[in-house]
Formats: sequence, structure tokens, C-alpha cells
Amino acid sequence: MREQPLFERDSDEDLVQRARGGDFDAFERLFERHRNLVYRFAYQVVPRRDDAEDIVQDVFVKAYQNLHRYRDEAKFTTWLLRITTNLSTDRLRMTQRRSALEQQEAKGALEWMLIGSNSTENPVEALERDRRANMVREAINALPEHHRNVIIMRDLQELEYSDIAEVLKTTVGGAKLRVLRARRALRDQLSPTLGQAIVEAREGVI
Amino acid sequence: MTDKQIDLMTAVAFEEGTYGEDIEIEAALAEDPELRAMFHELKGLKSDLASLRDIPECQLSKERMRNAIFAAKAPKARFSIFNWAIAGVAAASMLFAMISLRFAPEAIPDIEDGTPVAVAQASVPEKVDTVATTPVNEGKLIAQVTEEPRGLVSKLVLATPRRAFSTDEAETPKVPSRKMASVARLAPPATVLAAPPAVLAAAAVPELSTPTAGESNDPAATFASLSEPADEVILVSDLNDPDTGAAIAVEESVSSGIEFSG
Repeated sequence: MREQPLFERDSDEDLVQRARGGDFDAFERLFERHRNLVYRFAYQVVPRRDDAEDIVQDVFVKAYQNLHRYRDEAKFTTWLLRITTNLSTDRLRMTQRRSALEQQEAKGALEWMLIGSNSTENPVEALERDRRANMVREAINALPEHHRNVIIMRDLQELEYSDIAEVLKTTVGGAKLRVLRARRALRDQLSPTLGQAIVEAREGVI
Repeated sequence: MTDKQIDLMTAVAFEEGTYGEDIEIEAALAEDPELRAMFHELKGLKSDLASLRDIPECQLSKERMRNAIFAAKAPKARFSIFNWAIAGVAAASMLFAMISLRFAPEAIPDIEDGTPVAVAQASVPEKVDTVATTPVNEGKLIAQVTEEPRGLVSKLVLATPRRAFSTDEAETPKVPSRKMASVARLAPPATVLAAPPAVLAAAAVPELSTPTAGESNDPAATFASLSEPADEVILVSDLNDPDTGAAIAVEESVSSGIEFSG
């Protein structure tokens, strides 16, 4: 996966070994190396920065507490992503239980923040873009967990199929198949709304 | 359109198709407007997904993560040690209390030779049941204090008209022995061994009487004070010193307060 700098001397596995031996600096290096990987996944599941950062924190706390369970046959990032998918799913369930009013307020606040954050952008276009993005994100979150995770890994995090296969404990071909099915499920989810709008908007371009 | 065709078109739209697949889909799109619409829908989906990749930076610092790790560990440790400590103290206290109650020595001083025996307190048992008729020298249970007396009986001495008691199987209960003193150290509910009159009546049993001077050193003898047949229990709470005549003991008949059955 792309988190590891090319010229960093210590491998993840070396750092894990040292962290297991009580070297907390080694674990902090693992954290700095991979926090964005975890964060990007978490943010796609719970698109609020504070929630996503909480997940990152929880993932690394759990990883630290369970370092002795990590086996070298899997990549450290793969192991980390497995923890991330589990914790993100838990957090999403918790988030979905929040009241509709609270969500609405949060959305409104986010929209205003986004509009205000880029003064050169046309506010109407920004709103439309955000509306579509929210629609897609909601559709992703409405997918079953196994579809949602592969969409995030492949289409949002741009992980290689080999890495996805490792997380899913399957073959590369199996990973590709799952991604295809997930995309199909996402398209079905979006078709009644966004899909039709896209088709209508682009019909003349064809 | 089959699922396989849709998957193929999806792969091409997401730029994951092979060269041959790209050519195949391009040709199909040129002929079918419905396919084109779907293809553009998929392209739009890819674009929308790509737009979601733009996310704010992660602001979580390693210091916060470190604190979270230590905070996650610390309460567990405190909780664990604290609880174990409390549980340990509580368990030790309970064990100590149980052992103390079970094995606490009675608050009755040992009887030494030559010491007049203060054999009873004022309180007496409510009821004594005769439960067997075996000779005393078999050491069988014949009487049992079954009810709580009024207050703690530190020493209870029971005597029948013919015999007093003994707990010692081997000992011939001609003369009440020191064993009687230990028998008498009872806290109710308690059991005592005694020889019932019915069994011993036929035997040549020395008449029990008040202790002689020679017997005064034997504290247990001092309570053997009954001489007439009667289902009677004598509770001896004090004695007279046979040498000096000083009042050091009082005999108290408690037959009216004791029931014999059997």
C-alpha cells in the first residue's frame, strides 16, 4: 500500500517487533506512517473529521493492545485495515442512531463551512457538487458492509486489488469480482436518483 | 443486457478493462444508445466516487494517540488492582471472621488441680432430652441440650440419681471425674454423655454424695451430689470448700426446668 516511504529503512514488521518489545517510539512511527490510510477509510464511512479521527485513535489503541496477536504472514497495513473496517462499521451504526435533527444540523453546518471555505467557487455549483457527493456517500453507507468496504478500498482509497484481496482473505480475482458486484449494487442504489440525473444531464453530450 | 456485459462495461468505465475489452465496449456503444446512457452513468459514478477522495487532513497527533493508549491502559490497571485489593481484603476479613467464630476458645479458664470449680452460671437450659439408655462407660449420648438456655451456660453439670456423667468410654464412672468438668464446658446447643439411671440401677454403683475432703482436689467430684433416684439434674454452680467450709459453690436443682424424655 502506498503509505510506506520508499527509503524508510525499517519495515512495518521490524517496527512491530520493536513495539512488541516495549519500544513505543517504534509504534509511533507506525502510527505516523499509516494514520492517513486509516483516516481515509474511516472518513469515507463516517464523513465527519472528528468521528474519523476518533476511529483512527481507536484503531491504533486497539492495534497497540493487540500487537501480540499480529502475525507476520499478513501485511501490517492489512491487519490495520481489518481493524479499521470493524471499528468503522461499529461507529457508523452508532452514528446512524443519532437523531435526524442532529444530522440535519450537522449537514447544514457542513454546507455553510464548505461554501465559506472556497470563495472563488460558485456557491450554487458548490452546493450541487456537495449534494451529489452526499447522495453518493449516503448510498455507499446504505450498502451492505461487504459491498461498502470494497468500494471504499478500491474506488476511494485506490488500493491495489492484491491488497484488497489480502484484507478480504481472498484471491485477486475474487477481489475483482467483489468490487464489480459492489459497484453494481451501488449503481442500483443510485439509479433512481443520481443515475437518472446524470443520464439526463449528459444525454446531449453523447 | 446480461450481468456479464454490465460488469464488462463497468470495468471499462472504471478504466480497468483490457485493451480488447475497451475495443469491444467501444464498438457496442457506437451501436446502442441505451448502452451509451448506462456507460455515461457509470462514468459519472466513477467521477462522483473520485470526488469523495478529497477529504480534510487528519489532525490526530501522535501525542493524542499516545495519551489515548495510556488512558486505555491505566483505568484497566487501576480498576484491576483496586478491585483485587478490595476483594482480597474482604475475603481475608471474612475468612478471619469465620475462623474466629469457629475456633475461638471458649471464655472458660482451664481447670487446674485443686481449684474449686465454678461450674455453672445462673442460666439453665430449657430442656434436656435423654436420647439413649446405654451405659455411661460406652460413652454414648444420652442427653442433649436442645434449646437455647437463657444466656450462655459456661459450665453445665448433669447428674442422675445413681451416676454422674462421663465422656470417657474407658473410665468407670464410679466417681465423677475431671472429665465431667470438660463435659460441662458447654455452650448450647450442646450434648453431654451420661448414664441413665435405668441402666445403672442394677449395678453396684457407689452412691454419689457430696464430695469429701479428700476429693476436694478433684473439682469434678464436687458436683456429684445426688443420692436418691430421681430424674433430676443438678446444676452445680458453686461449691463449698470442704476444708474451710467457705461457700465457694452452690448447688442448684434444676429438675423443674428440665424435661427428660425416653
